[in-house]
Amino acid sequence: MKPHAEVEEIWPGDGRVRVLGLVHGLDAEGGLESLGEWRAALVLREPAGPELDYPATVRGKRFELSVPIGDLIAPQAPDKGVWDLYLRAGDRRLRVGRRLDDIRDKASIMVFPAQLIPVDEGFVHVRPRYTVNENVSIDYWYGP
Amino acid sequence: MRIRYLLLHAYGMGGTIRTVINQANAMVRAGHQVELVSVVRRRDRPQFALDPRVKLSALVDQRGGVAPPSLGARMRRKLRGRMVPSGEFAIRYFTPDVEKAVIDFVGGVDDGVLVTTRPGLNLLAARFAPRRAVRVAQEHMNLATHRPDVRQAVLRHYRAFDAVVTLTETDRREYEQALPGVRVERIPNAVHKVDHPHSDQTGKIVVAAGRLFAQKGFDLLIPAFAGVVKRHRDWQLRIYGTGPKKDELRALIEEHRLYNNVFLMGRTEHFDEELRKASLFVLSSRFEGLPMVMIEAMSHALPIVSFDCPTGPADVITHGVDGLLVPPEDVAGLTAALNQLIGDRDARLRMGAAAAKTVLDYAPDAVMPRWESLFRELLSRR
Repeated sequence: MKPHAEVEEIWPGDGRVRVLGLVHGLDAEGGLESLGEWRAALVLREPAGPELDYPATVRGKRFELSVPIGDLIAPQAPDKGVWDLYLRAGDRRLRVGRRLDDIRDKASIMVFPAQLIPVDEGFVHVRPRYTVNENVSIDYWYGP
Repeated sequence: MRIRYLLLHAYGMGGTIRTVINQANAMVRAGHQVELVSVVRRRDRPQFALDPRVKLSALVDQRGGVAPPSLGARMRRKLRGRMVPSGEFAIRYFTPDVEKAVIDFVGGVDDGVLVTTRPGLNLLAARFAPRRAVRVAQEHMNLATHRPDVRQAVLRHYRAFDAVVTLTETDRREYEQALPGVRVERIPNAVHKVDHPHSDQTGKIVVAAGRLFAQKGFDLLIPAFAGVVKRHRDWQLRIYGTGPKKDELRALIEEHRLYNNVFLMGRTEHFDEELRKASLFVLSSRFEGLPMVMIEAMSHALPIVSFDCPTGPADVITHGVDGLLVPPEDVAGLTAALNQLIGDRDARLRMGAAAAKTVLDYAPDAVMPRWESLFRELLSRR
């Protein structure tokens, strides 16, 4: 299994999406902290596009990251889009997901609330969710 | 013996249906001539495994939808009045045509044993089944839970039965007091088997299960679990089942910020395995007959935390021995009981082992012979 960032908790709230968990399948002699500065990366998948980058912390195996939802409305796709979430240090990129537990079909079982950003007449809804591969993505879409 | 079971919908899902099909299977295996009659039919095939030697039939085929009542049936109902009180929880099934079909069927049963399985059917059998047949009424809920009009009809008509059979001792006493002189027996439902692999009490998982509707009290359980997560952040509550309250329960999970700990699991085909992985089972119902899913959980050596609702939990569980009983609908009490057992693995192991012993009384081998001997005895008095 490729190294990944295994999710324990996702907290949507206060205009952010916060994710906590454990780095899995990756070791370093001087500890994971020695691999460089850890960052949270968001990659726009649909439509393919820019990458956003935020601070993250890794202590021992434990990681924590937090992204502001206000940045997620991409100018080239104001109506809807999907961001994939990574934890990275330098060129080393770990997908954030939850693959080690026994719950399959996460998309319909582990459901998180959407947050709303007022835009024009309506809102952009922003919601973290698990993909079919049990990775974390953040959807946004314009709606009432 | 010839035994006929009358079910409202033998093709449906649900505890009563599963139980009655288990009974029919056991009786046919014991060499008796068994028929299962479904009042309506809304599916092609039964959802639970039925022994092919059980003769299955339906009185009213509703696979194409429910036909509007015929003029004749409507007239008859006008003349005779409603046979089934409107407080019957399944009253919507009892259209004039359905009522007539049931009356015609039970009226034609003049030998063997006729077993009816819910208040509406029991009331029709009490009034229209000939006395030559042995008539047995099953109570799958409990007397206290029925609405006043149903209760009144029960008191008035159930005297006709050769025996009324309840699931719990509590309910048996209620019926005996309400129907002096009527034979009232308690025969619990059987679980399909009792020798399951036991929980090893390492999974940080509490399981609940049932249809997502008000009776099951999941709207009480979710707030109660908020108090668990405050102390035991890595424990999960997994609620198995589907139903009309799903969206409301999801909203409640969001309101209490429990989306990392409480999961609506939907339906599973591997419920046995899910129970084995868990460490506790919780029952938050407002009322029950005899909660079979709780007994199933106990067969995996899961201790129980349960509201002491009517009826069932207190009949099965000895407080402090194989589980903890909490006053009905006491959310804070439910939190405290869950926290107590979550914080004490030794207690869970001890109570789980006791639970696995308790459920031996609900093994098919323990239960089915009691039906057989009851029927035999009632027939021998004819």
